[in-house]
Amino acid sequence: MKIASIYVDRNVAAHPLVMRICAQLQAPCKTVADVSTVFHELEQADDPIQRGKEILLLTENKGPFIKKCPGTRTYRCCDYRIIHMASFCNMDCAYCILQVYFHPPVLQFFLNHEKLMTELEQVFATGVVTRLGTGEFTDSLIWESCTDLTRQLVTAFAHQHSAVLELKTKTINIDILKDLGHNRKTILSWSLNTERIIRTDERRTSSLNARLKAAEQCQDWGYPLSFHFDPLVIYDNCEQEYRAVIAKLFERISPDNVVWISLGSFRFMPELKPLIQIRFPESKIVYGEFIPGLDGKMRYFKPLRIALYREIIAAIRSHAPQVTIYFCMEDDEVWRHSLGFIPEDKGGLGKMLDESAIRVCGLMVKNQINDQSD
Amino acid sequence: MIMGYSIETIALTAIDESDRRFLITTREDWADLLESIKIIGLLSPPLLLPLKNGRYCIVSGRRRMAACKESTLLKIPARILPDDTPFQDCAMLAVAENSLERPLNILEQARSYTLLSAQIESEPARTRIYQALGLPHHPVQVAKIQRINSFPAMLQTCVLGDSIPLTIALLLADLPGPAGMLFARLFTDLKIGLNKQREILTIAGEIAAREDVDLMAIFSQEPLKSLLSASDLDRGLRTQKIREYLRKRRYPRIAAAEKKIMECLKDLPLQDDMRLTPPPHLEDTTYTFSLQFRNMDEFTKAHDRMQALVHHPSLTKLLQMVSQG
Repeated sequence: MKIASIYVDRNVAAHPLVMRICAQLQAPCKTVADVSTVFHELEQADDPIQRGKEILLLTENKGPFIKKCPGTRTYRCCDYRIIHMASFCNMDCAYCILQVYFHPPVLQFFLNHEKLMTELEQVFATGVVTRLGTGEFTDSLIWESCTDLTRQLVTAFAHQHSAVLELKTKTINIDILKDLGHNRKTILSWSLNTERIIRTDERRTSSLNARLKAAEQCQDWGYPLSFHFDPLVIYDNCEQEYRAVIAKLFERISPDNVVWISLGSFRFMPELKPLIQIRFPESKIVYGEFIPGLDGKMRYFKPLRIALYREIIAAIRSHAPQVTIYFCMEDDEVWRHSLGFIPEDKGGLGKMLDESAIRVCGLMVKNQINDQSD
Repeated sequence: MIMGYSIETIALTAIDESDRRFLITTREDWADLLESIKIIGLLSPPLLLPLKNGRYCIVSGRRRMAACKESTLLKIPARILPDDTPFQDCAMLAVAENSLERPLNILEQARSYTLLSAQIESEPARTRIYQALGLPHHPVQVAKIQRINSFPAMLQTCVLGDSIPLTIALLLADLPGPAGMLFARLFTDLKIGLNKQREILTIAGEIAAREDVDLMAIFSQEPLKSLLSASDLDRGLRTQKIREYLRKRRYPRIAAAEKKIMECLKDLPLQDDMRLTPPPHLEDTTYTFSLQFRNMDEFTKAHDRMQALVHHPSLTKLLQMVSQG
């Protein structure tokens, strides 16, 4: 991770991790009494988003670390829990919602891990099957060069039976995972796209082949895997190119080791469009056939989404008939016409994914845990 | 601090009309002034700055001076500034003599900003002076208006004539090559408002970006090529055809679905009392059906027609559109 300057919130200045991170990143370090000065500096930059990727703010998470995924009323959400351990990303994807989600976005890493671990213990203590992930507000594996939080998380999850941790990434920073005792309670997850989209709209990310090779390596180390085709981008011959990605995926990965595959078509808050046009002038992703969705985001015209989903699902099914496929933020109509059922038919999307995690990761529900301890 | 001036009688030949550095007004005519000067004389003498070559530069009063010239006067009274008057003071006087007398049009405002900003470096100071001179003074607005100075003359004329709003003109000025002028001519010709101008510009720009083609290339292809020159066609109809074509090219699947929806609705025996509205953009799944009736008899008859509707193939087709488009 290349950082131009590090700002340290005065409240965490004495934290032992501060010295370690500053030494590791070899960037000038400055303690600030008020973190809003950092945001103010960012706002003055010509490209505040790019600047936000060069500045690291070490601070504490004053709110809860574990949050419910911010779904919407109209589209099906998967009852996922986000571990908010950091925010923003040093890679640069044209479609990244974080460019407009935080005002302004800046790389932030929260140091009060004791609080995070306490919250996790509370989740584990419920014995309820829970799916958690660190890859919602940041990439899960970009922080490896400066912290050992991943190691702590993987280890903590390995010592319980009801929850899984999903580490979602576009990197190949997997070395730290090699010798960890994970007990299959950590799912390594890659966001996949066609080589064309990776080339044009995912700056500074790993290539498709590199991601799949890393996934295969993690599989060899015993980790369960998941994949996210999100955002799917519609362009001429995209179906053929997505089929090629899926073929490559299953050349390396055993379907039995895949916990789930999610599909989501490109959708964006309207304010993201001019930003993409300015920051990614070569990108064509905003020139698709979009309509205003029921959640206020722009989405592909529904028949186009359904047509692409059908193609991709057929391709996945031809390699992995049993793998759990789900949609991120789609309505019942799309489920019915693309997958042939709606989540309610299977007890709800959350239950579908829980069962998948139970099957592939060996999770145990509360009664099973009690039975084992009797 | 602006210095005083003296009143002197100056030969018109001593005034250098070609020196336009303090020109604010966009008006080139003076017929209105000529009449009043002939009847009651020159009430407000022009303001002049002596030049090193012994001639004078006009700070304000260019139209008055031209009218005097036309009225065959050889000499006129003029207000003469000291020859060491700083440029900034002359600039403020030039703007004030216009802006405090009448509302400036947008090009005159642009000229004023350029004249004033050349000498005043700090933004707060500039803002204070703009405000004192009765000019719009918000920095963002000022920056936009000031750009008019660099527009091609034709685009300046369009903005002045209100055929192209400033917001659109700024976009046109940024277009590469002759595309901006093509749109300026088109919008002036079609006499369309801001929203339609923006729509045409945005959609054409997005088509060009998506298809990796030059904006001009889109308009050199049929049917746009013919529509651009079809001056015999009604303006409204021309506008409609251009917009329809662009929309269909930008959103082919959505446009096709909309056409299919219209065909299905047309095919259904709905009559005036029944209305069927598909979900907006086919994103939601809820169709709305409304019926107007005045009594039981009308309701019963409508009920029978509704029964017929249920089995109509166009209704089935319409209801399948969400998934099939």
